[in-house]
Amino acid sequence: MGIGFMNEFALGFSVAALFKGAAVTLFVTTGASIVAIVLGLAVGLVRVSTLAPLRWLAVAYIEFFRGTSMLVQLYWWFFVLPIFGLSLSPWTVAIVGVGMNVSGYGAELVRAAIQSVDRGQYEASTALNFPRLTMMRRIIVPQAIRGMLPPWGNLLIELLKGTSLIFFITITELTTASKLAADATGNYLLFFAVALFGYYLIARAIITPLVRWLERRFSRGFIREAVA
Amino acid sequence: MSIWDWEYVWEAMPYLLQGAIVTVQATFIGFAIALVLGLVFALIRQSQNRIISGTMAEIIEFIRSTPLLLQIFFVYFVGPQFGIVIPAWTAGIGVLGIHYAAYCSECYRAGIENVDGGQWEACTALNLSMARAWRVIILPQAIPPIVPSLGNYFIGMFKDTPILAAIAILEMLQQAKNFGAENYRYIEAITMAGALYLLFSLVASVIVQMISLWLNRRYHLQ
Repeated sequence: MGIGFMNEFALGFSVAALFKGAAVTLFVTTGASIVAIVLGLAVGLVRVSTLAPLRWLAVAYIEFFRGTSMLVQLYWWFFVLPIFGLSLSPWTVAIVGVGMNVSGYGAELVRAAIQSVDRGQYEASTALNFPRLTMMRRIIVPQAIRGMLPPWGNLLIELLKGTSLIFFITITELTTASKLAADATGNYLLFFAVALFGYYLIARAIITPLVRWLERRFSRGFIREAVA
Repeated sequence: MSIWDWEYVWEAMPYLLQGAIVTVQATFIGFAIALVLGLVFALIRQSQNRIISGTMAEIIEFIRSTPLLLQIFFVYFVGPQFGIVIPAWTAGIGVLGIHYAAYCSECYRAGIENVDGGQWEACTALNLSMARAWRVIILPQAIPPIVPSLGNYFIGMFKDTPILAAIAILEMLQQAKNFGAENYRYIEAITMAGALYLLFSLVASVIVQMISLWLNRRYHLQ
């Protein structure tokens, strides 16, 4: 009787903690996505700059963030930077660390999409005497965005999964919450299954529809793609 | 004490290399599982039966959109609840392999779907059995072009191995962190671990490029 009550108590408590963890995961995913998209776009655009030194900087940035493990980077932000006198809160590390890691991959997507815009569009812009900035802003990037959206959707799902790594830096997000709840109640199957479905739900019910909506929005006026 | 101490770096090195062996082992075994299982997934997905191929597609989607860490927890901790104890090493590498098998199967699918439809018709015309058509005609054309993207997943998997630390496998990053924690001096150990990851992934990408070039020559792709 007493044990049953305690179990129920722990269960209720753990379910509440799980919901809180899911909210934290959503929050960090949103924040890190913004960081990743802004930096990814910026670095991707620098990557196709006409100035070679700027391009090299972008390449170094991309190779650094793609070449090392996300967890190594998080540890570096969390354990090494304080030695240089820069102590970041776990929240900052989570959002900036995950976001910057993904921005390296995002920058490559931006580069690929920009370079896959038809050669003729560049030539037409030159023929119309557009300055390079106008050409990028009005002609190239709007077309590149349509091409880069589907891979960005995949990348944002990767980012969502990446947020589970902040398990290692003391923030109770969905994975941590499910681990704590499972440890507290001993019901590993229930809590891990719920957490797995939680991630699946965020990916399939929020990220994928959002990207689909953006794809439709940015495809307005492009009849060929709208039909296909 | 200075910010960067080389002597301390050399002290950390044996631990890091010990971890590196574990990391490399996990990567190779895990990727071997991913390559084989990924092909199996991809072939099941090509099944004529809608229910079988649809279920496989859904399973692949599920594996791809949930975190590796949670999947490892699931396999490692849920088993003992029902009296099945899976050693950490087996669970970790098994899940690593299955997780990346889902990604590899998408690569295989892209390769298989890019093989010209006429090749299938020719197989039918030559009265080749299904198994023989796959083995002799379709896969040799489907796989070489996707080697670079498979290679990306190889490197991706290598960088995911630190997650194994969560179930107490002493891979490279965990060794670095432990060594740092002993003296409360993380900078050298974690930076060197990062440098080793960078070095290994650069070496791996060169090897992948070489394999890809060799395959392209062998199958006259370019």
